[in-house]
Amino acid sequence: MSSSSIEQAVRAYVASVEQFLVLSDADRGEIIADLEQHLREVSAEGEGSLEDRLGPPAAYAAELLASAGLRSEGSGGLVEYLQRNRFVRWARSFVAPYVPGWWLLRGLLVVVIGLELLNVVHVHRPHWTHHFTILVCAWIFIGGVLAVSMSVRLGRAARKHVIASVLSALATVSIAVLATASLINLWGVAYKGRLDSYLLETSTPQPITSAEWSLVQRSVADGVADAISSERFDDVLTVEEPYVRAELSAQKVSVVWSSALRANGAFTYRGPPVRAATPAGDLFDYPMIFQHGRAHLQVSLDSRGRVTGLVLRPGPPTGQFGK
Amino acid sequence: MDPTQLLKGVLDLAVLAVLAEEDGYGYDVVRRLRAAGLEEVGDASVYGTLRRLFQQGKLTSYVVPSDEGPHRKYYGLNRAGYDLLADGGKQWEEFARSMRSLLRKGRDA
Repeated sequence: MSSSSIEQAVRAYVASVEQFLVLSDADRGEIIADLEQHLREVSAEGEGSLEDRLGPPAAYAAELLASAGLRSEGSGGLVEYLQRNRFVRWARSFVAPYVPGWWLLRGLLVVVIGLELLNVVHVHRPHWTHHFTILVCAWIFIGGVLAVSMSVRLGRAARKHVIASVLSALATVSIAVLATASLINLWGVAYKGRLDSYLLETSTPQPITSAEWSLVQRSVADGVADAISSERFDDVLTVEEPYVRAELSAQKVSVVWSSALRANGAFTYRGPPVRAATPAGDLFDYPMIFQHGRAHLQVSLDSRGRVTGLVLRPGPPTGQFGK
Repeated sequence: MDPTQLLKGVLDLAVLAVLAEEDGYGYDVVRRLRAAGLEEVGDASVYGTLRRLFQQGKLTSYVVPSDEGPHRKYYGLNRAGYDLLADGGKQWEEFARSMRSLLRKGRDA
């Protein structure tokens, strides 16, 4: 008998015996691997088929279980039924080749769930953005390698040890629950987004009152004046039109402010603005007090609250733009 | 009387005795047991017994590669195995003595 036909005969007989081994996955996997080795020895030293020499697979399995002391008192019932059930057996054999793929996927799912948890923290601490970018990259790399490696190791160990088998099953169930929860969460976010859109679309717009708008304009102008006086020139214009940004660039504002400091000494105080209406919108004229002199900063806003002009001149506020 | 029923009680001892004589692989042990007169011994029983004794720490095991056939997994006795064989041997002797005496009385009656 050739080695390939011996191998074929051994595998066929072992597959038949396996059907009757009512054991845990770990025990069955171990005994099958060992049995194949043993039956190769038997096949190599005798004539006739394995079934003729060793008897029917069912009887062989029963004898093996009894002599190896592997049949537990508690086996039977639902577990035994499931292990003997033809559909369950077909499903197990169908899934078996893809199990290592599941180990990899399980490790990656841990990373995805970890990222989602980081994202939850991130939402509550938006000023951590840059640190989080680094943290997330580190987590993807280190966490990914560790999680996949541990998942594969656990999966392989589960075939040999009962405890690892239980841990592997627990990990699978936990990850399935967390993944389901994540999906529900994602669905909830999506649903909430649609709900918010719906409410925005169907609710009656409430016009902003002139008093409220006045506060908004004041807040914008204060922000600009404070950004200049604290020398945060990049924050002076953040959402303005491109042509305004070109005319009132951070560099230009910086040059003007520096010359004011040279002429008047250190800046000490910004007073409340004189407010005046202009044809385009509003003018906010702030008294700016320096160590050795005073000036006034004019912030001009259009009707939509956008900065349209900045002027820094010597003397007290006039309420007239450019004067 | 079914000899397989008798074998069940003494198979551990028989396997240990064969391996005490010389290390052997699964099918080799079966063949030597049969050659010694235990013709009813089954391959599965011997294989299962070897597995159980090995897992109980009574045997050592090693694989011998072969160019001509499959690799063979040899079993041999360790100290615990020799102790078990000695204890089991004494029990068997006492049991056999009792049985012989019982059977003699039955015959003589």
